[in-house]
Amino acid sequence: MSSKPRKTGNLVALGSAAVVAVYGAGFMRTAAAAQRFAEQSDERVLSPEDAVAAKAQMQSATILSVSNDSNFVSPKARQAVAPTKSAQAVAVNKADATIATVDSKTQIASARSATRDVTAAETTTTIATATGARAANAKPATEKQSLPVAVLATSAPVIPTAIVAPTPVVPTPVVPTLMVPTPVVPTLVVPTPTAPAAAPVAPTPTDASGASAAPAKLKDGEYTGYGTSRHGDVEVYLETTDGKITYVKISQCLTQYSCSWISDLPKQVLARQSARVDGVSGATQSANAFYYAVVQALAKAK
Amino acid sequence: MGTVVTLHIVNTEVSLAVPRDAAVARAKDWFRTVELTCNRFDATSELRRLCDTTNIVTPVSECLFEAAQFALAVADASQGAFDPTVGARMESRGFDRDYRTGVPSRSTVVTHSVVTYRDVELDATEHTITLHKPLLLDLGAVAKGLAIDLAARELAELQHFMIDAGGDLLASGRNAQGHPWRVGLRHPREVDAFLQTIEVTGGSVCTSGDYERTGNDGKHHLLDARNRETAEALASVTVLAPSAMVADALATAAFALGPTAGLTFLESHDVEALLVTPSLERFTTRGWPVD
Repeated sequence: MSSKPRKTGNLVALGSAAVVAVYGAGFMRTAAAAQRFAEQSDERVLSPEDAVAAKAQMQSATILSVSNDSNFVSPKARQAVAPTKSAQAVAVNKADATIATVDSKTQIASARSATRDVTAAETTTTIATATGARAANAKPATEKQSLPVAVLATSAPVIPTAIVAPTPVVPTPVVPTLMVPTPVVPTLVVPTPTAPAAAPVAPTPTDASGASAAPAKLKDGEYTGYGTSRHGDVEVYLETTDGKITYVKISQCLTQYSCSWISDLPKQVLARQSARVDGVSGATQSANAFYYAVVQALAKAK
Repeated sequence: MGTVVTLHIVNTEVSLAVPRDAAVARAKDWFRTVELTCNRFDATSELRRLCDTTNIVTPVSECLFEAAQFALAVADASQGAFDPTVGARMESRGFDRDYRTGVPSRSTVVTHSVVTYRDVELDATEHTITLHKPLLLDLGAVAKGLAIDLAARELAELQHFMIDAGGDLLASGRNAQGHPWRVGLRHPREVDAFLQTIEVTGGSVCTSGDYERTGNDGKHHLLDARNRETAEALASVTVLAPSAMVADALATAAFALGPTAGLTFLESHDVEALLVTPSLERFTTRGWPVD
């Protein structure tokens, strides 16, 4: 009845073994199991929407397994706990890479166009992609083409790429092939106030040339930005003085959820900037619309 | 997960066997895969469909299996203070919608009796999960970290990067200035202050805080599963560990255990941590970095 005895001696070791196992199995095993699962659950009574979704999922799983069939290896990878990639993982990755390239081509293309108006030797690209979960889910894997990609841009040797993880969607029946063209906006390059320009230490070759070039300085002024997410819009107003953000507020909040969810975010922007940190742990209240709005406003300040 | 994920990648001119953009694309795919598998708020996720079954031996994907297995191991190790079977209890407290979007997605799971992680049976040989009672698994404390770790493996060759998934961070190598990545730890009571700033060159920093989300009773989302009540002895727990899945899950478990037991628990698993009580008293593991 109770679950089998598990080795709980070292959770750190157990955790990394788990990651290696999932990684090694890659999308192949996941897809295969998902398909079996879909077949099983089809036998149960499904609501119409669930049936559509299940079918779509099955379809995509099938396509995946057909196209990658030669790479399939059975679950031995679980043994390969060593941090080296197993041959299987590599094979699976190859297959993945072909899918991924479609994506990255778009990114490269748009990154190039954005780079033009940059003077600095290095580029920072901010790429934001967003997609509806259902749309992504329902799409057959083979035509997994470019997601809407927006590139903001420029100068400083960091490349923040923001991914908006797929969101569960309102349970309305959706045409499976519909690709929701979510208006995508750059994201939070925001206040990554790159640390003081101290003498660049190794090991980043590009740094040597450009670390002294501080991140794009903001022009002083007052800016507004508008951020859109599927669940509402947020307008942000911000002021910059001496190249830094000095004031941020949410000037309009038209979200379906309560605005109190995001009311702390403006303060976080300032705190993060003045503390010169690369990231904040515990800053979990994410609200895409807010970040997009800030980034849009900052883009105007460049 | 429903969070914004940001990848900071330091531009190096090292020639790569794997093109950077391909690595980034694959990293993104892992977030999608894990979300589609483990999201409690998506009725079509593999997790939710598993939870529609009771006493059925169900073959599951590697991803769901490993996430569940790790969550159960943490439950075991924390004597049930952390328990991934609290999903239905969470729903009844109003945590029934996606955190980011606010879209409600309630399961149909009705729990008739008290369920615990012991009602979940895993078979590692057959890769199956059997739920012995109707229950709703919540892998929120594990899945996001797993996705971060998987993404980090894809980016490994790039050496210098940081993944930020809604405040759960994993840093590798150095930042654009060639320094260790600087990570601010959010202060649990002052939104515009940090508890401390630490430097990380390889590892993950995750924080569980009582300020994150509140339910319809105004209380936060972290339960002590042993009595099914909100854990109130701590305000925030930050864990520094080699992996994000470990850091996130152990922070959540320690939060439920409270300061004394939590600290012992974290020490015994060789991770570093900072625990802060609601009165702002601080507890740290022996190896915790000082400012």
